[in-house]
Amino acid sequence: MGLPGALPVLNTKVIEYAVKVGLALNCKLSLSSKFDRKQYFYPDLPKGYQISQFDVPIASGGYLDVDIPIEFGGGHRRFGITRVHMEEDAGKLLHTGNGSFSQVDLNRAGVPLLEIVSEPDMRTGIEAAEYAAELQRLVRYLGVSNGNMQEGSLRCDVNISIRPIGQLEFGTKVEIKNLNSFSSMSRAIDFEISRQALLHSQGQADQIVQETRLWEEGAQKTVTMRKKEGLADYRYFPEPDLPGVSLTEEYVDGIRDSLPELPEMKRRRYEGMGLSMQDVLFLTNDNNVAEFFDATIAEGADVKLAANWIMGDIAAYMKNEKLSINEIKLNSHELVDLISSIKGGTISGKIGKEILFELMAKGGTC
Amino acid sequence: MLSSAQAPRLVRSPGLRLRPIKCLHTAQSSPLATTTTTAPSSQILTIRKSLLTQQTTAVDLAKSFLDRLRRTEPQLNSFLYVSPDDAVLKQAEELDNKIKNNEKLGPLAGVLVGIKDNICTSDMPSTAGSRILENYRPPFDATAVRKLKESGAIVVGKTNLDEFGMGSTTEGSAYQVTANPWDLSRVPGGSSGGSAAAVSARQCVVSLGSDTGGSVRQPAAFCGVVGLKPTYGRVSRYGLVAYASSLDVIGCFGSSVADAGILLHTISGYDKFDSTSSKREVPDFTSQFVGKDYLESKPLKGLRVGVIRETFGDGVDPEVISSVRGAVTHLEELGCFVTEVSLPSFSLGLPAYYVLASSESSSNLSRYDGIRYGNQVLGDELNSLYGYSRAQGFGSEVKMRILMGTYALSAGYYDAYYKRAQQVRTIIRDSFKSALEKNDILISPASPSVAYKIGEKKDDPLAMYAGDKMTVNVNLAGLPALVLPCGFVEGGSAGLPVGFQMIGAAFDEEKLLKVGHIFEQTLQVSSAVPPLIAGELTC
Repeated sequence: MGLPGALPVLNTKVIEYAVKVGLALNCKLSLSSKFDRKQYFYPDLPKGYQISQFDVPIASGGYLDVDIPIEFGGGHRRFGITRVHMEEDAGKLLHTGNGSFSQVDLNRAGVPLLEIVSEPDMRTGIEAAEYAAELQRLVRYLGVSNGNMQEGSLRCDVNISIRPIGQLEFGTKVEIKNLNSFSSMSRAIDFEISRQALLHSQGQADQIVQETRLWEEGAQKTVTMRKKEGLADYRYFPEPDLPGVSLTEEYVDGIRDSLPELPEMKRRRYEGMGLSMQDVLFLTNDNNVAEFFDATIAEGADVKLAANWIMGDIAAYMKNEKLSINEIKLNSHELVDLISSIKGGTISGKIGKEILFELMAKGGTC
Repeated sequence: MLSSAQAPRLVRSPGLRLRPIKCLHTAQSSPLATTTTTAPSSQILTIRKSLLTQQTTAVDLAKSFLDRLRRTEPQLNSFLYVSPDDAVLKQAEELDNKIKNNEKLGPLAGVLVGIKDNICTSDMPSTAGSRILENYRPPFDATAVRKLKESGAIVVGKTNLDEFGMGSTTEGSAYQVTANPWDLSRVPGGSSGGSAAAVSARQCVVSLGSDTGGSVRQPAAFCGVVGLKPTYGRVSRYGLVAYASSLDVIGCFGSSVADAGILLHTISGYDKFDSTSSKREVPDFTSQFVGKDYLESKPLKGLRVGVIRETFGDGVDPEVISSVRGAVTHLEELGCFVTEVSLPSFSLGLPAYYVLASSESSSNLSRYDGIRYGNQVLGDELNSLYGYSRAQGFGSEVKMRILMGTYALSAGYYDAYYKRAQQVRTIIRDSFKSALEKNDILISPASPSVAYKIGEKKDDPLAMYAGDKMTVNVNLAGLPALVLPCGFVEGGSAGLPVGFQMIGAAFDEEKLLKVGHIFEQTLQVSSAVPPLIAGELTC
């Protein structure tokens, strides 16, 4: 609410999460960083400033490795990470249909979040969406966020600029908001690229202005939301209400040692086990599925067979029943038994399938 | 009533006049009554004693303060809000019942306190002296207020101030002008002028103020009371309406050093709601107080006192200088080892302070946008709602500081103003640190002048800002400082009080209070009461 006399208190969890994400993104950590105030007036910003990090973000200069799926051309790409910083969330404005008044929901105002800024390394909508999807996997693997875009736990703003071949400097960038899924992100970017390319080809490149555009899902196009008049002056200055953040090497090392196996490492490991990239991407997409797979392998199941069962009937069942792998009754032990029973000829594949469905629905207790 | 040994020193300089001192409390039974001077006694301890020995009741005590408050308030206007009598008396009654039932009493039981109106109280309005918060009632108590209430204190009301603490006269209040109890035609100082005047006129026992650049110390000097600015971080700022967050502290007013010390002890300590509050242990500041009769002849033997050369120069009233010099002489007589110290960066403090305080205030006051609380003036679109609400809600001094601060933080000017001022702040902090390694305390006048006339500097902000030059450095350095009355100069019907400032090392309030206590026990000026109430408090 930004009440008179109220003071901010740092949520220590966000520092731990920032360090985790910073390390997972191969960033350099600032052992001493600080908070700054970014100042502007808006009804969703109760204090008239946002507590953020300006010149000394907690992590900077990293990268993220992504494997592009075969259907999108495949290949391995590395995207640069400019910085990871901590800041507080703003509220949410709700506008009435007739526009006579607006309401502001301040429930998330002041809640800490991490902002991850990438280098301008993506060349297509797909690349950007795959980068975002990899970030989502990463934060889920790390347990830092559920990465849910519908709930707003993961939000993406994209900036797009194009330039003639051979030109070194970037063109004017346009920001797009209201991207609620990776697929809308991909489509919005491709739309915006063609919109800008068209203006270039028509000799109207000067009509590309620095602005924020909104992705309209219905019309499948971007429209102007607000034009930026010059560069906004946020009058950043160090936040006097919060002390600086000092990390010790031991603290960082402790977190580094506790990091789980990350998606990229898992993919390389699965690849080494002889699985195809398609299988690898499927199995590593959901950390819980990967863990289930790892457990069956650890108990001696055949790698290819286990992968096939999980990606085939088990995945289909999960999709139909809208259940996660942790919610189905089948456990990895039962799957191992099942696979070896079929492999050893004790039961047929057909019987095996029937048993599998029993196990998934009811478990192996009966 | 002063001892002959002290009188000549105080009347030595021309223009300095010694007033007969009236003692505050009847002291027939006290051994002090037989001595030639009566040291200012702790009202808090006196109240506690008389309650515990059932010489008086909390209700009677509250009534006598409320009577005096109601009688003097029309002339003083110290309070923006006074608690209804029955609310005060109900709390007093509860205390009396506790006493009857032999229940444990809090250390401030029955003590009536005034709270500066920029400190949040859940049961009273908290306007910070601004129209934009007219009738605003916070949903919570400031931590300092909560601690006072838990220790048995009774909050009697909210005291007047310059809007958001920005000013040095209390004329900058959006609501009323407070008068100085020593001369009703003069300002009480500011911005905590209401809190200082209220203690001076004994409208309450002690009061809380806030000090960003001298807002406790200067009014204490103007009103002839004790003012204590704690180390930054000693007292939680949670619930203090922010002016300049890196400089703001809640401070204490009392009519004796002991009262200021007891009050500080009550409100000090780490608070999880204020990340800048210190986890240092809070010593019992009063445990080292020694009664006058037990003092050795040189009780402050070996204490190294540095007199800041730069504070005795141009722009300081000669009478103020002589009076503070007299205090220094007195410290010497108490055994202190006095030397002059030079702080060459001292004069840089004022401009650095006004850049930093304005910058922070421009940010801190952004929240008053008319959207969620406070006065809202509707416009046909968002920016005019902001514009109208703030234009009508803020007074001119506040607007000026917001403009100055916005300018100083703007792209292209940041390095020349804000950043440079921060560099100056570091230099000042370092120079104080090294001076306090060589000295136990540093001495300066509390203000370059005594209380001036209402209206005198109202249209001359630079003259008013210049009056802060003794105090702002202490905030920039985050140090504790104690202001004590040390004499009087000609003016009003009974003279005008002069205050001097003792600056200590960070978190060493204990030493300041010890020295201050011995000072006031041996130099009888601080129990003087203003002419407004002199008659009724005569022994």
